[in-house]
Amino acid sequence: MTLTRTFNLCSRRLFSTKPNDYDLIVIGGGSGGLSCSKMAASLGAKVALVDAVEPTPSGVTWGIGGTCANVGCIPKKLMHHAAIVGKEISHAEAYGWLGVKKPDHHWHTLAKVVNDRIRANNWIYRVQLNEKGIKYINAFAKFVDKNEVHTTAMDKKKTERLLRAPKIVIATGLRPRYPNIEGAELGVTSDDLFSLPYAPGKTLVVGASYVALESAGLLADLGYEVHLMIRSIPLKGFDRDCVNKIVQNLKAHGVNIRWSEEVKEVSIENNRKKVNFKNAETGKDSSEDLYDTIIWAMGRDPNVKTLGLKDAHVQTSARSGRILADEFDRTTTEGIYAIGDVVEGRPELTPAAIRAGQLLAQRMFGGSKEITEYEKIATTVFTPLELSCVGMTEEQAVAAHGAENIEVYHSYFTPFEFIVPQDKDSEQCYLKVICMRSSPQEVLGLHFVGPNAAEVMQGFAVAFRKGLTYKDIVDTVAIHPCSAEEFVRLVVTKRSGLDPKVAGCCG
Amino acid sequence: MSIKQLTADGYDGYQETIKSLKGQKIIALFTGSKSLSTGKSWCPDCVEAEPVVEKFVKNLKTDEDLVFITCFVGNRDTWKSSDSPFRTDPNLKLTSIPTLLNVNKKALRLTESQLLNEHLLKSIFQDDE
Repeated sequence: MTLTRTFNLCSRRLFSTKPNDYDLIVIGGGSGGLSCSKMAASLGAKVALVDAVEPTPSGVTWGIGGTCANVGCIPKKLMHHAAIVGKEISHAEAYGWLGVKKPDHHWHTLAKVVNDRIRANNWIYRVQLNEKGIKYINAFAKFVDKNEVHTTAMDKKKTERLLRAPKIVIATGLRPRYPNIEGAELGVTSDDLFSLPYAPGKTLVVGASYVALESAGLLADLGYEVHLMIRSIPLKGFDRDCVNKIVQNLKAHGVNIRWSEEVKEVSIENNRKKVNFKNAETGKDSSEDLYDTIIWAMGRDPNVKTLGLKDAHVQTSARSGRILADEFDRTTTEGIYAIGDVVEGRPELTPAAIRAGQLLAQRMFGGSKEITEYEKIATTVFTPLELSCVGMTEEQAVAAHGAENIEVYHSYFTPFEFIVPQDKDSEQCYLKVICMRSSPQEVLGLHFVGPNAAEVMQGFAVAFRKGLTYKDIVDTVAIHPCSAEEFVRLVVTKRSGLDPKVAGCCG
Repeated sequence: MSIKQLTADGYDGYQETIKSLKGQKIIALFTGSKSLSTGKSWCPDCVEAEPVVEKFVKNLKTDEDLVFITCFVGNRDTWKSSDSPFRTDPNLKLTSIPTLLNVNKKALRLTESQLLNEHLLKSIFQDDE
C-alpha cells in the first residue's frame, strides 16, 4: 500500500500535465492486442497501444507483432519450410534433376532471410497502426489504478507518460520458462533460436511441448546433431497414436530422444556446454554430454510481472499466474479485460487471440454480443511430418462417451509425392476419424499425420464446426491423387482389428 | 547534421549513386520520370507525393548526416515492364511508385498514399523499426 502511494505521488510530481485520455488502452502488441486495437479504431475509438519487449538474457529483442510474428509461428514455419526444401533437393535426382546434390546447410543465410522477413512485418504493422490512427507507444506499461497506466519508453530518454482510459485490455502473452538449475543461463529459448548469430551445432532440446518437438525436428533436418530430452509425455493433449507416429518420425530424422531424464546442471567446458543429466524418477546422476546449443522448451509463463496487476486489483491464477477472465474477457476489475495466451485456460494459438481481440473490440465499441468460441479449433504441430487435428482425441472421446459408444476409423497412407523417391516418411503417415458409433455417426475428432497437414485440415475444420458425420465424409467424392482424399477413403475401424496399412492406389 | 540531396536517373544511375555513398544513411524516393516538354511526371501519385516529401525533407531536423536521393525509374513502359531492374533487384523489389525506401533498412518503405502521411515519413527517416 505504501509503495503504491509513493509511486502515485511520484507520478503526480513527474507529470504536471494531466494524463492523455483515450477510449481504450491496449497493453501488448501481439496477435490479440493488434487485432483488438485495429478493430476498436475502425469502430471509431481513440486507441493507445503500448508494447515493448524485455530482452532475453542473451540480449535478443524484437519489434511490434508479439511472439507469433517475431519469435514464433512465422520464423518457425519459414525454418520448417527450409527443412522441407532440403528434403525436396534430396528427391530431385529421382525425378530427373540429375546432378542435384544436397549441400551443407548455411545457417546464417536462413537466419538472415527469416529476420529480414520479420523486420518487414514489424514495419507493416507500424504503418497499419499509423494509418488507422492508433497511438503506438514503444514502452513498458504499469497500472497506476484501474483506469490509469504509467508507461516507460524504450527510447534513450526513457520517456514517461501517463495514459487514462475507461477500458484497458491486457494482451501481454507468455514468455519461455527457464529451469531453476545451475547454468540455466547457458541455454537459450525459442526467443533466441531463430536469430541465433551462430550455427546451432550439436543441440540439446529440453522439453516435450510442441515447441520442443518442432525445434528438434527442424534443426535435425538442417543437418545438426539433435538430442531431445523428454521427461514424461510428449505433446500432452494430442492423440496418442498420432503422437507416437510423430515421435517415431523424429527418430527417423535423426533426433536422438533421451527419455525420462532431467538436466541436473549446465557448465562450460572447452567453450561448449557440459550437461549433467539425472534420472527423472530416482533423481540419481545418469550421464553427461557436451553440446554447442541448449534450448529450453519446457513451457511458458505469463508476461505480467511488471504490469502492477495488484494496483488494478486484477486477479491471477494461483497455480499458473495467468490472468483470470470470463467468457466476455472481463477480468476481476471492471473496465479491465484480458485476451490471448496470458489468460488462464485459453488455447495458446494466434488465431484464437486474433478472434478474441476482434470480438472484444466489437462488444466494447460496436454493440455486438458475440463471444469467442474456443471449441472446435483446428491446430497443427509443424514437426518434419506435420500433425494436424480438430476436435477430440481418441482418449478424450473414450473418456466422454465410453469406448463401446465410439468408432475409430484409421489408416496409414503413402503421400503420392513420396512414392517415386521412396520416401521413408510414408511409414508414419497416418490419419484417423473418431465418431459416435450409432447413426448418424457424428464426428468427434479428425487427426492427420503427414505432409501439408495444416492445408489438409483447415477445410475439414469448417465442416467439423457445422456438425460433420462419418457418412458426410465417405459420401464425398475424392480429389485424386492427394493426401487429403485419404479421409474420404477411410473404411477400416479399429474395432475390426483389420490392418490399417496401405491398400492399393486407385482401387 | 546535414541533408545532402541528389538525383539519380534510371537503375544504373541509382546503382552508381549508391556505390559512391557507401556507409552513409540513404533515403531514396523512387518516382516516375518527368516529361521533357511538360516537366511533369507521367505518374499522378508521384506528382502528388513529391512536394509533400520534399517539404518534409526541407523542414527535417535531424542530428545525423543523411543523403536523400530522388531516383527516376523511367517512363511508363520501362517501369511497367515486369523485368524492370527496380522490380527484380532483391535489395529493392519495388512493386509500385512512388516508393520511399530507407536504403540501409530495406524493410522500411512507404508506397503511394502512405507518402502523404507525415508520421510515417518521420518514422522512415528516423530508422524507427
